Amino acid sequence: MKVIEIEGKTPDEATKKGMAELGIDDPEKINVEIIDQGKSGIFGFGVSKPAKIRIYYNDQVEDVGNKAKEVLLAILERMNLEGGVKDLKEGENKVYIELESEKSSGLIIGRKGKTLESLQFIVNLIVNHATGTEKKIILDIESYRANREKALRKMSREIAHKVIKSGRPWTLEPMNPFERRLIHMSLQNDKRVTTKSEGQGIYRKVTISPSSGS
Amino acid sequence: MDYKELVAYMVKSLVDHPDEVEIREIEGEKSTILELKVTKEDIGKVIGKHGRIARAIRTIINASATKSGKRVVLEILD
Repeated sequence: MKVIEIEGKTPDEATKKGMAELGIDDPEKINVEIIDQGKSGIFGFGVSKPAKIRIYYNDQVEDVGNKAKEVLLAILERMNLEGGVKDLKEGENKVYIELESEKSSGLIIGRKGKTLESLQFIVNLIVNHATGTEKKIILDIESYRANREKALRKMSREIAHKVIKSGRPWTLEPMNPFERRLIHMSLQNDKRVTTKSEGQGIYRKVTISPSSGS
Repeated sequence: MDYKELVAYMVKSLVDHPDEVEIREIEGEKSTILELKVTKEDIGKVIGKHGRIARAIRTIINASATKSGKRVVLEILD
């Protein structure tokens, strides 16, 4: 963690100055504490006082994001797939990387997102191994995750409807923990059905059943 | 397409003894077999719990083999 103090005409200007000094262009990577707002001295009268701020910057944070990007591009290159990083956001516990690929996004995603999932898993392992951190790296491409989320919610509601109508439980295909959680959440307020996960490891599936009372 | 190089990059980045990673590529007409050998201590690092790491590596290999239509098999030797 690095901390620097900077003065400027306004807090904004001081922040810009500080970022330039640290060589950071993403304002999300720093925390700014305003020590003194400063006074500008209206119409040249009065005493003008510079604004003073303190910038907190976690220099390790950048390492994880950069390392993740480097590993990811190295793998894509060796997979012979064209693709690049469109956006990278780094928080305290997470790194979010959005990929782009003109021709190969379908291959990068894979059937039911399997390839994207595998890439994410391997990149996490390699980066954690290299940097010694446990930051979670999340990969996305062409809003695949948001779209998949929407599709899963829609599907869960449709199947819940069938279960209510027929009175028979329905077991979904195996899903990863994140997707299973999404199904549970999207149906938790529907009193007419209950959801339950069953099975081991990658075979774990969600079953939607009619509530016993109805 | 160099599958050996793809596997080597991933495996060497995962293990504690990258210098002792050996990969042999056996090329057939329709399929390519990759034989991977790592040290005893590193074997868990390439297989993972319930084979999760090995499965992810295989998925990535298959994605890059899709275009060629070739089958690429990764065998982990012990």
